[in-house]
Amino acid sequence: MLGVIPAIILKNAISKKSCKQISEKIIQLHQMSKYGTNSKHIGVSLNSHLNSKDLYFEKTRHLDEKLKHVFSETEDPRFTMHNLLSVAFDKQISPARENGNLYSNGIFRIHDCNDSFHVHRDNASFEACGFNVAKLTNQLSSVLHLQTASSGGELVLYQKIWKRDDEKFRFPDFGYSKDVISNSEFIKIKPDIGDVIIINPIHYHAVSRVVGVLQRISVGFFLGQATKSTLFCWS
Amino acid sequence: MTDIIWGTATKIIDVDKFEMNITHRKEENKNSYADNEVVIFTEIDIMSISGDPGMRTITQIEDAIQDKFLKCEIESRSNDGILTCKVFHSGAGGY
Repeated sequence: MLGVIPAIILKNAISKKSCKQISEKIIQLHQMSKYGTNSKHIGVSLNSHLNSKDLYFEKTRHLDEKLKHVFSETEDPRFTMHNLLSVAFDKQISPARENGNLYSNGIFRIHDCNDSFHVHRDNASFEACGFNVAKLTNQLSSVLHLQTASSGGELVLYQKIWKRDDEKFRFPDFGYSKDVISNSEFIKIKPDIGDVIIINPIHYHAVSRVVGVLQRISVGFFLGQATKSTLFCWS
Repeated sequence: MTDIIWGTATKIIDVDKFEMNITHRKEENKNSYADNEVVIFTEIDIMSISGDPGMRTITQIEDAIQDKFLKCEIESRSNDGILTCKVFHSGAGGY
């Protein structure tokens, strides 16, 4: 039954020491790179390239090369998560591919003070037609929390799943009006450093406003089922 | 400046024509738009739809835009009230 279990939390999936090292590398890369301070992520998002497939795969290749160097002497948390989820779900997990191109393997997100994420849902089968991952089933979202905010920055999960008719509540740039979740029950999950939180992102969800100087830093990807024993991931 | 409207495609009428429920209008629009309009598109920036109308099918258009949230840049309105537009996906509902 949808909405009975809001989330699965894998506690202490990665040590706090590793999370700190990874966070420092990501902050450094973000400050140095051409992403600039207006962009709050490192990674390539499929939904930002719905009509530019070649560019999506090109950017992914370029970033993967860069991250290989960044994580040459420390663990790449994206691959650590693959291994962990592979054990947890007892399934093979690998990055999705299309015509020999690898999909983006995860996005690092950085939330500063006062940042939040608007109410939204994630559904590649509706949004990303034209991409192979749209054909995968049972899409899940998996997010590792590398650094948490001193206050706020909680995952807010609504007990309401998206349906096609909800598109009338869309905002032009991103996400939905709060009217779409009015009267819906919700829970707030405050992650600990090193936690992996897995949700069914067809449920509406949001991130509450970050308060304080500590940035909220996470890395996440989506998982979809190809066969009984195989999951593919992408971002 | 071009008028812009946003909304969901509610019914696909032809390979270049659909009905749309309008939910947002640009503040600076010069003209007014009803809550439901018929749109003919001259250009459509959606990967799975061919730029050549002769290569499209209604099923393809339905798969690509039915119920989807779209942005329309208005080019003109015909005497029978049909809008001619350039059409784009608008933003995303999630990641």
